[in-house]
Order: sequence, then structure tokens, then C-alpha cells
Amino acid sequence: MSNQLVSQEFIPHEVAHHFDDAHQEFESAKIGMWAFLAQEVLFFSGLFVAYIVFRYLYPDMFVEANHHLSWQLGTINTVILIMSSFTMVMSVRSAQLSQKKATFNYLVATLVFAGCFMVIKGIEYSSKIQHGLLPAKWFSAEGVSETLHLFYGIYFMLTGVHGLHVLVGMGLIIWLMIRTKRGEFYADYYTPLEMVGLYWHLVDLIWIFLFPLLYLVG
Amino acid sequence: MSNAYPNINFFKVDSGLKSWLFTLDHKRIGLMYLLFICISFGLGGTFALLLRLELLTPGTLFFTAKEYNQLFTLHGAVMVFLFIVPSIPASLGNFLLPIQLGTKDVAFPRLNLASLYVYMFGAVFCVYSLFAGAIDTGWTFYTPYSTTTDTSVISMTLGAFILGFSSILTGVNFIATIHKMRAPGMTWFRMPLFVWSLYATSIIQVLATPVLGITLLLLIFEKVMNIGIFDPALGGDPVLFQHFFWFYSHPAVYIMILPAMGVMSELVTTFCRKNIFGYRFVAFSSIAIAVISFLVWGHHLFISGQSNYATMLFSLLTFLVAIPSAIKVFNWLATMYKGSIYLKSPFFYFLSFMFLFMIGGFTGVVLGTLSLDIHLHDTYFVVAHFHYVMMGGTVMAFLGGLHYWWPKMIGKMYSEFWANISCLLVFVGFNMVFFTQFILGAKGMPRRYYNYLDQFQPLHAFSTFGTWVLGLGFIVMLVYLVWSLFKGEEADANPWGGITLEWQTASPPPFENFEKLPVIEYDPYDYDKVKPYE
Amino acid sequence: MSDNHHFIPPLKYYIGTFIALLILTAVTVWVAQFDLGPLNEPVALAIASLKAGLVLGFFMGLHWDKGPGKLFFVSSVVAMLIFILFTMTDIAFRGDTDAMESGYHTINSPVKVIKSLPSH
Repeated sequence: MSNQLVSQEFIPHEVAHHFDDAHQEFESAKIGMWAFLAQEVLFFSGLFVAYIVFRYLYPDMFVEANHHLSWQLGTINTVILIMSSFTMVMSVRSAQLSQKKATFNYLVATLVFAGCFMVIKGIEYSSKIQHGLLPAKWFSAEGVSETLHLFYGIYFMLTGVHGLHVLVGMGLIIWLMIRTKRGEFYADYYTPLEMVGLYWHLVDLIWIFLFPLLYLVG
Repeated sequence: MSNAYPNINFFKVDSGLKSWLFTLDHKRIGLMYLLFICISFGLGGTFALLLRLELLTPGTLFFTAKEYNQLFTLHGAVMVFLFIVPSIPASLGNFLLPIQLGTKDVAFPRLNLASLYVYMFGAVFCVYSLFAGAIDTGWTFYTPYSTTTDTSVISMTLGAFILGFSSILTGVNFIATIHKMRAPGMTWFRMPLFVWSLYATSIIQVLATPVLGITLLLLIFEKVMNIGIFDPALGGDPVLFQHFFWFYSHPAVYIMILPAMGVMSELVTTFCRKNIFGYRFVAFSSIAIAVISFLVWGHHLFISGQSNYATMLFSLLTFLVAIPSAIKVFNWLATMYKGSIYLKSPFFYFLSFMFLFMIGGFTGVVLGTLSLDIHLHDTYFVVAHFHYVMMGGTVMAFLGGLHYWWPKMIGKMYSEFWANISCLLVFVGFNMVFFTQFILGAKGMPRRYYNYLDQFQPLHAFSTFGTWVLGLGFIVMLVYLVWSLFKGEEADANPWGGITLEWQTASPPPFENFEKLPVIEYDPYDYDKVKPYE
Repeated sequence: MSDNHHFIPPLKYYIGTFIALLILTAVTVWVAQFDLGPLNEPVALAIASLKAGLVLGFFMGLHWDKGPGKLFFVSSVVAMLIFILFTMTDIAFRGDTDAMESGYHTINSPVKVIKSLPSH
């Protein structure tokens, strides 16, 4: 084990008392996180079911609603999230190599990308608000389809819940940045980094499906 | 911290309120859950007593129609979300899982404490909603009434949403613990069957509960933003809500029964001094129940306007889910055969379960039969069915487990005499209340009805008298259990002669559960090779 | 020790996945401009699934993982598919016995209905 590195810039990790060793601790965390991710998939599944049901029932309305969405912005956001996934996994890799600065910098990049994603989302949302393309309570736009408000209800629920997950992810990344600066992550211990990484990749995964479903209809 | 307190029982390690509220010890967390679960049961039970009081006579007696609706809604919501879903896993499961696995704690002790806090936080929302215009939609929150009523739907559903996370976090913790923290030599097939049942329960908790979460969130947003997906006036579909709701709530009933079945396996082996008949069948049937439970939710929607193809599919699959449950009952019975039966209070609860759960299970198959359900849906027959499985099943097993593990957890014995009296009162009272309701339902009495035809009055009155017998049984139980906390006889390490790991350590266990962590060489119920620890 | 804790995947897997994801995103957008009729959705979902598989396998490490992570994830997807499929057996066949049960009939729409879309 890299003892010089550990004594210079890193805080050695103490394994929790109820675990036999660091390996059991890490593997347990991974299993726990994958179980949690399974739960997240099912959380979004309700929204996907709502989408599928109403797309099945009102296919033309979905095509019409799609005209008001910018596929260009959607594509940019997809690329941004893919880049953020890349920088996230590079951050974990840097910790595995005990490269403190690189770990931190990749986290910053991930945070920046996440921020850009939210900014673009904000631009899209304000455009919808301006045009009155909102859930039924506030809907005030014109349309051929009578049920147009249903799409926007589902759109805001889907992107809103996803956006909330992005915000939570950003908070977690900031937490990781603080801990990285303190020297808590190195070759023998980077569990929180890996776990938040898994969470972050799931957020990217959800968007990978949302993108064609919302932006590339018809 | 690790070896600081190897030999002192966990109660004595630290004292004071803070040591409980900030504990990371799964045993203390389990006991705190137990306290809240019992309080919730008392609250839900009070609502039941009150609503049955109203039903003594047709027409108005003590409550208005709206208040009656609120009573049965609150009875259901409190019992389902605050009591029965967490009941066995969070209290007995938390206490016993690490000990039965031969390890020091669950995988994530801080997450465990967090799940308790989340439970308390969710409970606060639910209790708040009681006073802020108590909800009257039924615990199932069906649209369109739930989206249009002015009662406190949002606070109650937010409460249930939060409680769901407590359930999910418990499930995540148990899954990681069972995968990774078994004692050396404990293969999957040397785990106690209670552990298998907790594993299957955790699968359901993790996969089904988030759908409840999103459903309730969608309901809240439907009310706040008029999304419209459940509102026919906006082009939506109210039956879609039912699909969403029951996708969780049907697997949820297996969250309720699976741990109870796990307790049953523990009771039958110890009190018959015999190895379980068909260990692998019982273990795999738990997993099978967990899997099939996701396939049958539409049987709650048979007369909702669902398509005929869906009804036929769900009816067929519902017959399938009864099979693994039946396998367990046969295996427990076969375990009793030629066993050396030690007839004590926990075993009386086992026997109650056997009888009552079978009735509940059979009537479930009756309701799963499409042609019969057309007539029986939303009648008292349904109410009787689910009380037979939930109370005659889960609650009996919970009580059996509570009594069985009481000396282990508390270190004191309760009065066997009063325990038997209470069990008798509960059994008799239960059947008085609910067997009557099978008859009421078959004769056409609808459920959730405030008023009814005169001809049903004698049966309703008899059912209400039964609730008083049942209530008395629980009051007696509360008294002797609380009494035992202070004045009970000190319990041995192994008062019942069990051979699973929890009986091989002190009562109550030391802080890290064992003086010396065990190494497993035998099957969990191998009475031929293992003699009960003295 | 063992598997992932000290196993560091070669950089090429991460770079390769990253580039593949970008290419597949471009493909998704490119294919969307063609109307493939009933194949529209399956193709879009197939490409998305491929991208998802790459993220799961290489960014999230499932390709190298020996634990139950794969099983958990696949179970969640299967549960979701059951949810979708069985709900659709209801939604898709509603009107088969009673015409009144399918579609919608007179709603209070907040939409200001116009005859046709203005050309954008």
C-alpha cells in the first residue's frame, strides 16, 4: 500500500467496527447502492407508464406537443450529461490512482456540466411558461389537440423529477469535493466517490431514455 | 469502540434518552420501532373500535356519515402504513437479523437509524393530517374523489410517501446485510428461514414501494397542478390511478405476510423440536411469493372497468400466487408430524395462524375467481378476507414472535398464564368480529357503508361485540408485557430450547451480539446434531 | 483482496464508451428524421438501450462486477416492464366489449383549440 502518499496528503480510512475488513465494507456499500438504484428505476417507472399510456391513447397529440420542444436543446443536454458521466468516472479512476488533484478537478467538471444542464432546462422551462404550455391548471396555449395539457403535465413531471435528481446529485458532488480536498479518498478508500458515481450514471441513464421519448417524437 | 463492551448486555452499555436517540445499535433501533409500531396499532385499533361502534345500529348513532368515512380511512391508513408494513421487519427483523446471521450489526447502522427518523417524520405528517381535516377517501385514495375532496389528502399522502422511504431503506439495509455479513460457514442454505423471509420481503420493499411513492406524488400534483392523467374531465383515466396504486399495494400485502411466515418457521421448529420439513421448498417459496406478487395487482380492479383480457390474465395469475403459500402451510404441518410438541404461548399463536391464515388464504382464492368477485367485490366478504390474512395471519405471527423473542430481547419472562388468557380472548374475539363478516358479505352487505338494511343488524352487532373481546385481549397483553418489563422473572439464555443462533447468546444479548462470533457447521434447525444451548 | 476494489479498468474502456455514446446520440437524432412507421419507437428505444448498456457495463462497472448488481438492475427493469405490459393489457383493450369505455368523451379542455397548426 502507498504509505508515503497516505502519510503526506491523505487521511487513512478506518473500517467501521461491524465489518471484518475494508473489502467487506466496500462490497456491502456496492450492494446497498445497487439495491437503491433498482428502487430509483421503479420510481421513474410510474412516470414512464403514464407517458406510454397517454402516448398510446393520443399519438397525434404527442406529435403536436413535440413541435414545441427544441430537439436541439435536448440533444445538447444529452451530450452534456454524457460528458458529465465521463468526467465522473474519471474522477473515481483518479482516486483509485491516488491522484488528489485530478479527482477534484474531474468532480468540478462534472458539477459544471450538471449546472449547464440545469441552466438549459431553465431556459426550456421559461420558454414553456412564456407560451403557456403548462399543466392544465395554468395551460393557456393554442392547439389542435384537445388533450395537449396532458403532455405538458407529463413532461414537467418527468423532467422535474429528473431535474430534482440532478440537483441532489450536484449537492452530493459538492460534498465529495469537500472530502476530496481534505484528502479522504485514495487508492484504498474511495467508496463514497464510487457510490455517488453510480447514482450519477443512473441520472444520465434516465435521461438517455427521456431524450428520444420527449424530444424525438414523430 | 469495537471491543469496549464485549460482555455487558446491550441495555447496560449506555443510558439516557440521547443514548437511545443517537444509537447505532440495531437492537435498540428495533426496540424503538417496536414501541412506535405498538402505539400505531393502538391508534388504528381505536379507530376500528369507534367505527364498529357506529355500526351497532343502522342510521346515525354517534358519528355523521363524513366522520364515519374518516374513521375507516384513518383505521386503514394508520394500520397499513404505520403499523403492519413495518411491523415484523422493522422491530423483530432489526433486532434479530444480525444475531441470526451471527454478526455484529446490520450493514448500514446509520442508515438504520435514519430509517427510524424517516418513519417518525412520516408519522408526524400522518398524525397532523388527522387534525387538519381528516381524510375520508378510504386508505386507497381512489381518484377522482381524492383529487376533488377538501380533506387533508396532501398531508396524509405526503406522510405515506415519507414512510415509504423508511421501508425502502430497511429493505436496502437487509439485502446488503444478508448478502455480505453472514457468519463464516453460513451458506445461503444454512440461514434461518426467518432470514429468507426477510430477504424476500426486502426485495418487494425495494421494488414496489417506489411505485407507491411516485403514485402519491402524482396524486399530489394532480391536486395541485391539475396534471389531468387521472381526471376524466381532462382526458385522463381514473382507473389508471388504481393500476398505479395496486402495483405497490398488492406486493405490499406480501411485505406484510412474508416475515410472518418466517416467524412461523422459527416457531414450528423450536416448539416441535424438529427440523423443518422441506427447508429448500420453504426458502424458495418465499422468493416465489415475492416474484409472483408483482403479477397479480389487477385482481383489485376486476369491476373497475378494466379490459376483459386484463381481468382474465390477473385472475389466472392470482391462482398461481396461492401455491407457494400453500406449500409453506403443508411444510409446517409436516414439521409438526411426529414432532415433540412443547405447548407454550408462542406456539398457541402459531396454531392460531395456521387456522386463521388458511381461511384467509382460501377466501383469497374465492375472491380471485372472476365470477365470484363480481358479487363479492366491495362487500364485507373482502373485509373479512383481508383481516383473516392480515390480522389472523400477520398479527398472530407478530404476537407469536413477540412472545417468543420477548425473553431474548428484554431478558425477562412474561406471565404464561395471562399470555394464554390473552391469546384466547384475541382468538375468540377475532373470529367473532370477522367470521361474521364473511356471512355479511355473502349476503350482500357492502363495505365502507355507514348505513345498512335492518336485516343485517344482528350480524353487525355481534361483530361489534367481538371487537370488545378482541380489545380486552390486547389490553390484558399490554398489561402483562409492561409488567414483565419491571417485575418479570429473569429469563435464561434459552427458555424455549431453540437452536438458532440467537439462543446461543445471552438474554439480552451483549452489545456486539456474541461474546465470540460463531462459526457455522450445521443446518439451522438440525435437532439431531445440535443440542439446545443451556 | 479481490475484484473491483483494486481493479482499475484500462482507460480505453472509458474513452471508448464515451465516444460510442456520443456517436450513438448523433445516430439517434439522425434516425429520428426518417419516418419508419411502426419501427420508429422500437428503433429509438433500441439505440437508447444500447447506450444504457454501455453506461451500465463500463461506466458503472457491471461488466467486471461479480456481485448481484446485475441481478438487481435486471430485476428492476423486469418489474418495470411488467408494470407497463400488464397496464397496457387493460388500456389497449378497453373498448373491446363496450365502446363507451375507450377514448374520451367531452372534456373540459384548457386548450384553445385551433383548426390547424401554424407553420413554424
